[in-house]
Amino acid sequence: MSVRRPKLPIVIGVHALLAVATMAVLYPVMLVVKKAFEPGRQFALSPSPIPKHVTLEHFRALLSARGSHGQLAFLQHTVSSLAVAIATTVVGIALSCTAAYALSRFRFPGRKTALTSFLVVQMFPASLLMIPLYVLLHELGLLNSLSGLVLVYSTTAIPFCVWTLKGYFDSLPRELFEAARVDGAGPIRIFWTIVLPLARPGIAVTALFSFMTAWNEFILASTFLTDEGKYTLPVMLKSSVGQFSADWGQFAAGALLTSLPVMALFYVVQKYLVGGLTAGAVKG
Amino acid sequence: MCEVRLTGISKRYEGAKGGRATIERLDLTFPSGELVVMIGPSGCGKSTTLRIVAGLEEPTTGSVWIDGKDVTALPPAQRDLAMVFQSYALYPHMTVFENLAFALRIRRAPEAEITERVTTVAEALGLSALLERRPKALSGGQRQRVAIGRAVVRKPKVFLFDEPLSNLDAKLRGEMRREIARIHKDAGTTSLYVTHDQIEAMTLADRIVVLRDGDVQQIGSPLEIYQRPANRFVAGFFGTPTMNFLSAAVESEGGGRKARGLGFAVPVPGPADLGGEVVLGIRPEDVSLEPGGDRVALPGAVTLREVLGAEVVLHVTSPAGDVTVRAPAQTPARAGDAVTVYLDPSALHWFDAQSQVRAA
Repeated sequence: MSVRRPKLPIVIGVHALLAVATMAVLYPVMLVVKKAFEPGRQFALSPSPIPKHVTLEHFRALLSARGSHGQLAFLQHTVSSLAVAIATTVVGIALSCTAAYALSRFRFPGRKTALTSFLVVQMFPASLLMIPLYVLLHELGLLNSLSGLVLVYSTTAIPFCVWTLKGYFDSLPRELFEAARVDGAGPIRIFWTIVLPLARPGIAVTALFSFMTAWNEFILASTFLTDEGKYTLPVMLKSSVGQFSADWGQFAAGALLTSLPVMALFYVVQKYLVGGLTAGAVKG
Repeated sequence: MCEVRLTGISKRYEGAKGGRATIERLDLTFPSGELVVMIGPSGCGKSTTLRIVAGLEEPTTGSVWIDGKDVTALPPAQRDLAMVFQSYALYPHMTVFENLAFALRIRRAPEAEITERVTTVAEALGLSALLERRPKALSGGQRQRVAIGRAVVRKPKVFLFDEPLSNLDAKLRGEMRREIARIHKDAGTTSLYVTHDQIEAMTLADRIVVLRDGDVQQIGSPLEIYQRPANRFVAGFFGTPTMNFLSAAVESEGGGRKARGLGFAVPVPGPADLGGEVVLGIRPEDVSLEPGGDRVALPGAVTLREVLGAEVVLHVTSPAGDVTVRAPAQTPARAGDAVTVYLDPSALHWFDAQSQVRAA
């Protein structure tokens, strides 16, 4: 099949549009990068994204800053953030994989209701849930604890994960399940040996999403965590630019470092975003 | 050796229009060791019947018996049957070897036995060189071989084939058809085979079950079905080009009876219980352009000449309706020519015009 080449003016127009869109997305990021490497605490008013002088002083200051007990503060917050994000991902994926499998493959009373309620609960913004969640965590004695935060993040991540994974499981050919059933496999074996390996791309993408949500979340974390030592990275970053003093240099450096794990994860997971693993299962 | 029996099977789908039954009170016996082909147009219930035997669908009423045991309530895993799907349904993340070994592993067969059985089957199906490949690195024909191998390796009581060759091109289909025939001959396993392809049915079947709208139209050997179709539907379903149908009315004439249509009249065979309106069926190969014997003449004109190489198919319009004729390749008649076609009265199939059922 031959693809017709578009005309030159159209090519130029499309590329111009893409260049503008790319600039619009990249420019703010570039300003942050610039601030992270530029000396001084203030944001310069110059619109140029290229710093005049380059320094690593903000990174050095950020990484060597010590907390109230003499511990390396940035490292400590990174550990908190990682613990919360990984725990949320593991809990969320484990529960939502099994739930999504059941919702996708079995018909049982309450299935529709479950699916609808998973959809509806996602419509409430975090700020609305804040107060009831606060009360609940208080009752459970989990305020100001990372496990409380994991619990909160999991409950908000699971409905989304269930829907995404259910969509993915639905797309697996029905005949594969039937072939496995005729071959003698029960539901649990089918889940382990057929569904999970085939759904790896879907699970990877969903895991990335829950990790990102937990890693980047600010509002709930800043509400429920009161002990500065337990702050996750976003809360810690925000606290570095206070009302009276603001070190934008350290803030920018911290923001860059915080985004590194997510970028790395994206890099690892990207092949799943592109490729389908089911090729070759059925015809064609 | 194992007989499969269906008694009083009905299947209604919830929400189907008017709650119409896909299958209504179906009684069928698949004799031990035979390859039975279920054939019919799409929506006739043939695949549903197969899936009910497999246990992938529950019948609304009725029971499934395998080897004298009522298995209606058993899940597919406990029915000891193997199924080949139209879409192959290979496990895409497993190698050919693992695909073949999957069912044996579930049954916790010893590793040595698994290797031995998989190797034997792979050799028989010409898959030995492909054992380490994934399904996506295989051609359509190879995939279908793996799908068949996956069924064979288990040595089940019953094979189920759900239109296994529909996704293959004509040449491969012929090859795989012979392959399946060979496997069935070697293993002698009771096999249920669903297709809409009459050539597959004719060449593979020990017995053919013709289905339409969930009803059995006829059960018989391929030749019986072809030579003595039970009704007009079966007569029209088998044979390429399809059988010609001419309307006629039976009337008494002198001592005997004759069926008179527009432009022709044929004597009614002695014992036939016929009266009033009838439909006469005649296969294109039983129509000739040469007079002879007691052949009945019908005047007409050629509208289309299709050259098939070894023979030609002539489409002729006549007062009685359109008639298709299979004739030798050297037949000179061209489109537009006036011709007389001759019907062999002994080759006529007589159907009651009302009930469409065979009368003689």
